[in-house]
Amino acid sequence: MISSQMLKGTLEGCVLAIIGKGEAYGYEISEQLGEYGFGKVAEGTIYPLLLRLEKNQLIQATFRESEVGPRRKYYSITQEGKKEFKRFLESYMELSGAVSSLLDDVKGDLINE
Amino acid sequence: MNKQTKQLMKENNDLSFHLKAADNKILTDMVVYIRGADISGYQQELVRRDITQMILDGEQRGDTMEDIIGSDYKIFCDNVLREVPHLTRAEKAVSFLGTLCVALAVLLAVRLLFGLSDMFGDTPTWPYIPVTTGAIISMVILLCSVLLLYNTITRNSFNISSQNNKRIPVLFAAIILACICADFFLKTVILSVHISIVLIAILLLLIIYKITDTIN
Repeated sequence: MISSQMLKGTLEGCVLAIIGKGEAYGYEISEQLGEYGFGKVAEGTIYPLLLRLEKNQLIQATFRESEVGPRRKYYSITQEGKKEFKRFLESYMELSGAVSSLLDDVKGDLINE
Repeated sequence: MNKQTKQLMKENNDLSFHLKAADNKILTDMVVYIRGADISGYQQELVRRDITQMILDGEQRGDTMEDIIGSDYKIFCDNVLREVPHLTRAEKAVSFLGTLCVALAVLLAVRLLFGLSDMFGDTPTWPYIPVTTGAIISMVILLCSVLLLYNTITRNSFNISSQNNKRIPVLFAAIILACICADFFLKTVILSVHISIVLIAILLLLIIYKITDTIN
């Protein structure tokens, strides 16, 4: 299970990635995160994040009637959101490379102890 | 409250009727908590709408509140409130002014009713309403107590235990008793105000309240 601290730094970028694939609503986003291996992410965890992304104009929301039940808020990525995702991707790749390099170096030592 | 907020509030009230009773209770606790935050009435209703729709959708899937919102409702609300535009100092001041005006208008109206009953006393002062030190003190006590009570209830909406549930009415009764005692024992008349002045004051206060409510 991924710790919440690790998730905190990357969840926003990952949510942008999912919305960047195609318009989605809150529960759909949390389901997709689960399918990608993030574990069970409650819609309540996603909602404040979506508010922040919308406030920063990285995504925009529209209401659609759903087949059953109430209207749903669908989110789509904006041009600014695409730029922000690109920045996240670059940062994450750099971090991922650095962490992998460090862990490859120390992994053997720690396992052998 | 402007038309837009009133309309949204009505839609939210209608939506919440469709919730299961247990889920509606938790939503109510969240809404009470949100009502105490420094955000506009409209923002409160926007957040309320989103959360209600989230819960309704979750109920359709057979999810529990914990599945939908998470395990800690207070943390959820705090995270949401962090992302919502807060009132500026000026807006907070306007909102407080509106609340104060409507509270004062109500208190003055009650004073007026008591003043009317004075007509039948031993020494009627009609059409003047005597303003005593006790009356002023009791009004101040009531105003402060109501504001404090509102803050306490909204800040603690998730942990109002059964103990606190009994404490609040007892506290309120003690406050009312203090006001009655102040009124009864402190009878020094500071000034006498003509009833028309009181009526004009009430009207002015309500107008100010209406203006501040429309702005917010």
